[in-house]
Amino acid sequence: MRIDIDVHQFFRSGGHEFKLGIKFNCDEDITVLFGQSGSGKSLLLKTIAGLQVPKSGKILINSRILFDSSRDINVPSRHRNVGYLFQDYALFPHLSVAENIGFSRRSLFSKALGKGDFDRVQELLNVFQIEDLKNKYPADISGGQRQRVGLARALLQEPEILLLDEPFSALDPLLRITMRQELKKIQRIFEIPILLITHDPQDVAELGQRLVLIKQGSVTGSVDLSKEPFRDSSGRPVRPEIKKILLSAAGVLNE
Amino acid sequence: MAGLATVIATILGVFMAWCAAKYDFWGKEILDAVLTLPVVLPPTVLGYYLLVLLGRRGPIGAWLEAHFDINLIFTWQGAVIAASIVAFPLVYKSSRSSFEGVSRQFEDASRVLGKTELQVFCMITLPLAFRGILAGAMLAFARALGEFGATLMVAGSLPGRTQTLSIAVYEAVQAGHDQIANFLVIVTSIVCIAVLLASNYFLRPKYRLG
Repeated sequence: MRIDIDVHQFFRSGGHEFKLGIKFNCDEDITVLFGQSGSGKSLLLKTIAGLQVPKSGKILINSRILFDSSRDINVPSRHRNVGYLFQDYALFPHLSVAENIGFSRRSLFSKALGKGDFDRVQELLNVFQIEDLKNKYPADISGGQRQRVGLARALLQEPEILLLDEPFSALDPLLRITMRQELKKIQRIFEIPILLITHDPQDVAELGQRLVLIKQGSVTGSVDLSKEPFRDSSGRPVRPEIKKILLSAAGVLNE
Repeated sequence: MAGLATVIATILGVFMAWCAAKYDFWGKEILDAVLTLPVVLPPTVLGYYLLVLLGRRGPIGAWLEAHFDINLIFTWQGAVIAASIVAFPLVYKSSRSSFEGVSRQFEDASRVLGKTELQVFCMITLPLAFRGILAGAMLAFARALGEFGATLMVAGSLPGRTQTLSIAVYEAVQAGHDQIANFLVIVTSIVCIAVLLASNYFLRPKYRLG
């Protein structure tokens, strides 16, 4: 698995100008993009999913070209085959949990799924332990349950990569701890690479194998977190070291 | 007749509302104002416009007569057009605000899940905006049913052909036929109450949003 990104975009709203110029590549299982609110990380994720069109640049996933301005290639969102988890999950309020999960396989005229897809929905309901919620509506389930539904819905279409937009920010702190562990487990079960954006240092420490630092629309650093000094000999994150690099990236700490 | 006018107004209203909600273009708000005009203008003024446009010497009327040998004035089809135009803004306004109320995230989410624009519209946008559209269509129906001024100008009042309920009430009262007037008034009131009750019933939320 390998992601290559090099995109440029220009925004002007009111008197403000915002330039996005992001270039990085990674091949780790979990890559964390870290940056302040307004640094352009959400925009980057939307660009990868094809919901935003950059002015110029390239986006490659596993050497498959999703976007290349020099060759006039712009694969539409529906053919990019990326799983996307929105910040507040964007579950369809008029569909039940099971219908939400099965959405990517459903036809225009009928909510029913084919046998194979139906079984896969069942399987995902089991994996995420939300079997008994399948007939409920998104408004009637808790935040953690919504996140599971959102992940299951994204995974049903067997995407090549999962893009997560601040996946834990809508959850209360204790639940975050559980859901981080769950996410790691899901990553192993489905063997799917994850690109996650966050402004929470805990996410970086717990999940990150590759850390990409973003500030004001551009990449200010790319760090391998899977080795020393960021992991100790038993593979646990060394929090002070990680904290140090995040603080210095934010300009709070100058070495 | 009111039903047909409602169908026409709903289809056009939903389509225009969707365009207005989705696309930004120059003069959008001017177009919005023009499309809303029929509900503000006095019906007789609207009827006069229609008469000028659709009449034998009007641009549209002359064209229709020359090419298809169709004359709309003093026909029930003319009355339907008048009622549709009067009812149109009710559908348009409520549809537009419901389309704009559908979060872009839901549409984006379904695009990423492999849906085409048509599928996004039919499976996400339309169902989520449906209640507002239905409310608009119900009001449009009630309005078309009670249409008086514009219809009278365009279609006249030919009993059994272009006479609407409200025109019939007016004429019955003028002619002193109190019994007929009473009957028609009661029928109209019952239908209107039924429509409102039905719309409240359909609009009862099946699920909570957010």
